[in-house]
Amino acid sequence: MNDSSIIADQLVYRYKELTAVDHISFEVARGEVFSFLGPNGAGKSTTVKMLTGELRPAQGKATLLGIDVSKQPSKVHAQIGVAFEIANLYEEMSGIENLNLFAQLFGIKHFDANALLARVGLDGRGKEHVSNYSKGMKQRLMIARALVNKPRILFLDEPTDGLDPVSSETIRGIIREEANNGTTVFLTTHNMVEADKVSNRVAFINKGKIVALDTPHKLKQQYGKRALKVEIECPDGTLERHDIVLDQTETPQVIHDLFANQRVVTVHSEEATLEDIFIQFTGRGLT
Amino acid sequence: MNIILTLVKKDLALFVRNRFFLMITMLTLVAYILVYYLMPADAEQRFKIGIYPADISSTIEQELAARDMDITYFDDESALLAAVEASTYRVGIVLPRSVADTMTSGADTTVTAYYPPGIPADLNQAFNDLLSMIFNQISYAAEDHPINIVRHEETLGYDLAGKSLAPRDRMLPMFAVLLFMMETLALANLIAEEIERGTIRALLMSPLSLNTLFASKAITGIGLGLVQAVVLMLLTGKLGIHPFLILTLLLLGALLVTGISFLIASVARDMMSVISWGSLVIIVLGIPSVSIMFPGTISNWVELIPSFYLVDGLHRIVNFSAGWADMSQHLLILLVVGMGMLVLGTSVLRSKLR
Repeated sequence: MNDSSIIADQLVYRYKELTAVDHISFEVARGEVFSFLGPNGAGKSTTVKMLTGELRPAQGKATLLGIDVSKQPSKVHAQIGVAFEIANLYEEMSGIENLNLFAQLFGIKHFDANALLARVGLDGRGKEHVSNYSKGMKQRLMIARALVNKPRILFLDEPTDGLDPVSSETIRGIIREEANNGTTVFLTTHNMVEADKVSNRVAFINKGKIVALDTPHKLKQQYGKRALKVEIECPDGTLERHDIVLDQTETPQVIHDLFANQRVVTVHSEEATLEDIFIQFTGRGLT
Repeated sequence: MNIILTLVKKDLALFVRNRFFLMITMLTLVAYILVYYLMPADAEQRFKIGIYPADISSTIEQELAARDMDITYFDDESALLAAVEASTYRVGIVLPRSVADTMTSGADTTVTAYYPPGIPADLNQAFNDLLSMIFNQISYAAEDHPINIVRHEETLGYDLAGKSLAPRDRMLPMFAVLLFMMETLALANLIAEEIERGTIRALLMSPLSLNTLFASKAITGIGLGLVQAVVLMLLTGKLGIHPFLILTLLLLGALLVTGISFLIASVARDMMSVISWGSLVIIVLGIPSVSIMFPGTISNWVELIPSFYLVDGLHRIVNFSAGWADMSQHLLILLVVGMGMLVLGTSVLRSKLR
């Protein structure tokens, strides 16, 4: 039996003439943090909707925890948690009421909303109406709601988008904790730095197709270029910038000549980022 | 079942926390009950007629007194006209001083009728015809040629216009329908907001099915409408007439408006669009109430509007003590149309959610 929590097999989805997702296939292992990266309109959300049963694929099959999502969506929903990008909470209800509602829908008895709120850093704020919460608090409450049923797969859509560093770090901490406990985390994000920090593997999606899929380290190693950024002072006092690509045969000589013949002011090393690699693949950035 | 109860509890909590709809609902209910009790409990059965001059001949006076009319004689013509203009009298009649002699001689007699402002054209015509008939009869009687016509009147089926009903009893079915319509808006708003805010997506990520979700919304809608209509009937003392029949009719009425709520929710985006679409629906569904308040003013096409069977049914039960057998057709039509609306509304909402 396959150990993968998520299997996307040749998924296709069309909005009339437009093929939003074009024969996408991948697998995500249990306890893995998998990031799905791509610009707006690339097909990220459509893929997630097919995986969570919101949309029925035109072709292909999505299997979560060994269950065909199209055939038994309710059975799948009982074992997954989803935090959406846009806050969709009951604003006129308190944080505790929001969590208790979903605990009842999942049929959970003896549910401790306060403990879950404390875990996402909202302890003491549970009785307030959600309409009084800040964006970061709402995002953390969304994640708490996604955790109500102790899911085996957690789908997080842009979980730290627009949040302050403290809220972002709290959420990254939860992602790591969940993964350590064996939960599979499927992260959809624009934020390459965040994906780099928390993901075991990342997939780049562009125009409905996966254009690259590997660990961040391997992608950077395989496709990235390390470089030195050097600033030198010219005889007339102006500063001149030079980019020196590393890992090439002539690189040591170039560096040597620079230091021997020029007045070097600053030197910075620069690693390839996931964004650089994404641009290589797609010819465009993520935003 | 537990899931449905959880969702109904949640919807009721959201309804109560929506101050706009809560306030409108409470105010409407209280206002309708107050208006009901402030309106006269008895129907004004006799026409009030003013006549000038006061000293007409005893023959004419006796002839007029024999008719079932509330007549006041005026010594001053201008006082009569002022009273008619103030709508104290339905009609003011000014007769020539020598009316008795003129009638007896067979010469032309001019009888002038004054009406209050705003009298409907058909009522005006009816008065004209009535007065012509009365004075022709008086004229014949004055000449010792009385017209002896024995009247026999019978209305076939339910005489919905002939029985004198207090205006408040005619208005009661309309109050009930308007209460239902308020709940139509409230439920449509609850659903539209769930879709607009995306909370429905979150709900559907739980083991909840769409059918369960729609069932909970239907129960919430039916419950909200039914409770208010029952409170209205209870506090106006009408529920006791045929309690089970009234409850059944109101239940089917609530079913109908819940289906309509689903349809409104499927086209509306927010509270404003719910109110806009809802206003259109309220106008159409309110038309049958007019036929109850003003019998004979609207022709049979009104029966094409499904709310007709709710208001007309309620009218017949509370005002004419109609029973199960009389109401079977109304109940059946309401059940079929209500279920149809619910199925249609659910299908449209389902396709919107997908």
